[in-house]
Amino acid sequence: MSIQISDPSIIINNEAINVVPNSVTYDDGLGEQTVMVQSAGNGKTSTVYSNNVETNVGAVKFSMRSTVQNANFARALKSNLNRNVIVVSGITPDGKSLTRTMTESAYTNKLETPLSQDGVIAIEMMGNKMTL
Amino acid sequence: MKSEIDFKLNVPFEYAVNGGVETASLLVLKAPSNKQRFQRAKLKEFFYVAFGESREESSDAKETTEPKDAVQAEPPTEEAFAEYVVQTLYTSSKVKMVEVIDEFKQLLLSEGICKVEGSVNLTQALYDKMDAEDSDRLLGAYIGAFILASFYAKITAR
Repeated sequence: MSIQISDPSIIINNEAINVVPNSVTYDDGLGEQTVMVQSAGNGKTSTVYSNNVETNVGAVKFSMRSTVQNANFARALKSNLNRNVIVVSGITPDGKSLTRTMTESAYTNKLETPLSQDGVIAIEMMGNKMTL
Repeated sequence: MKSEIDFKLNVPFEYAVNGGVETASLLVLKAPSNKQRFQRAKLKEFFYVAFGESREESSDAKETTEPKDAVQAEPPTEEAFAEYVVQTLYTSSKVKMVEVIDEFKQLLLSEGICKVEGSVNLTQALYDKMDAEDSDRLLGAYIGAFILASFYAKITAR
């Protein structure tokens, strides 16, 4: 029996942050690969594997409630350019854990803070490929 | 009176700095200011309660009325005194060690009190990464150097 991680912890620049439940997604930054065919004629073919290194970018997406503290934190994150480090980790009740670290990451999407009852700040961070 | 001390970690941990991850093996500790007066007072109180208890016990046993490590021909080194502080607190039945640790954590996490490798503020996330033994040694070193500085000066002056 396996248990899914649905309650991860996010640590940015050594600070644990509060996120909207079920809003965390990460991309290891392993990118896109393609497999193409080459032909030697007479029906003989072989495949060529190609890694599109342009897509080797790590990413983390999550949302935070639009509190004053979170709005200021998001602003500081944006101002810190690509000098942010994010650690995403999770542990299941049966003790299995997952940890990913993304260095040199930047807050890339527009910082919008909705001032509404259910407003959330969407954050998309991009940086180096994730390390374990 | 010192205003800053360096504390070497036996078990280094990783921390984020300037967009990268580095290994920390040193903490730079600053003396508490009036901003941390309540935590400072609490920690001092904890120690004196534990110290008083240890004195009572030793006088009951008709032994010396001075702390074992504090009364020596040679004055204790700072390391020995730090160890004595931790030992006194742990062995006290009147002082709850959980409260001591909690109070010390609050003090340590105050802005500017503890800098990892002298550059990054110690945060809750980093504190959680610290080895428990290092954490105990840190408690003794900090209390010994800053909170009980006058007590230590008295012992060493004898």
